[in-house]
Amino acid sequence: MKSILCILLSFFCQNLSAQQLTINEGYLRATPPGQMMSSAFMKLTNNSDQTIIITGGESSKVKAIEIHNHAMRDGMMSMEHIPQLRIAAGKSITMAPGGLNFMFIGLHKALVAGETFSFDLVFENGERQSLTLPIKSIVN
Amino acid sequence: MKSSKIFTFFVLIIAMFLGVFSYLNFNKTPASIGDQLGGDFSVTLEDGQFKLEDYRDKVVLLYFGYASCPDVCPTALALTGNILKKLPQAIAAQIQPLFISVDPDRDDLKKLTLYGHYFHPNMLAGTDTKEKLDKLVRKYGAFYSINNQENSAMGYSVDHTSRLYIIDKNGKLADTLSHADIQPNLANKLLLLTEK
Repeated sequence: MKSILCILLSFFCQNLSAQQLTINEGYLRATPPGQMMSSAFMKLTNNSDQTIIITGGESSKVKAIEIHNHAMRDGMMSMEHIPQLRIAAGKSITMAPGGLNFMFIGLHKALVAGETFSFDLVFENGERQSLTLPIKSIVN
Repeated sequence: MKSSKIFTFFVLIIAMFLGVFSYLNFNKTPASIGDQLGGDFSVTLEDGQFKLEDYRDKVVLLYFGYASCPDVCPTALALTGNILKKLPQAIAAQIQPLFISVDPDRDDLKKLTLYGHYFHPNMLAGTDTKEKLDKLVRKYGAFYSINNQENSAMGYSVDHTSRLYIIDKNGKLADTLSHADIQPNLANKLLLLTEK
């Protein structure tokens, strides 16, 4: 009985977070040959009345999924790991090339354009939201 | 050891800035960028040396970066490759794109060849010793710096200038495009430096 309740509860929670955070225009970049790094870009919208805090992502197909940001520093493009991405109630954040992105570090397999990639977003409160994004090539 | 290396690097950067600053102050008459920066160089490719002096009949597009760069380098290289693919064949044949990795520890030559070809079939990619690379980036007014990412699975990233150097058929630095200027301006610049 307890376990059924747990399953029901977790199902409810997943649905809840899925409603609270919507992802649009998301994609991952196909990897150049030999490269086991990639980036995902998307628009995240917080539909809830509370701040949503994302700490990163997880998947068995990659060593780490981290939030990174780019900034110009002394005329050089610099990257930094963002431990928490905070999305205020009712607000959207766009992750786009040259700015914020989910960085996939140490992919076990190349990312091929036309395929999809599934991973979990991990929230500060321990909740997760699974996500499946298309893989796109930036090379014509 | 690590911190002394970082310190030496910063001293070098400051010295470089001071050098450029005093040079600019000394030289009151405005000079075009090509008079000060650029010039012949060589870099190691998988199948030998790339020597700029061997490319006098070509416009060379030079970009400094590193292959595990997850966003900025692939964006700049893909834009460049995609623009070259759209140019008429006769024009594109006069252009030699070249990627130079400033991360020789992680980027081996075999990997770099495949990496370059991914963005354009004619794109060459190579690297060299740190000493040679440091001289080369200085020659072109570029900068890079190892950025230790202690809280990241990346280990380290490489901060670097994201610019495309356009070297004309005389081996002179004709123009430098910032990252954001590649898409709107590269095709026009190339049309001016090539023959129909």
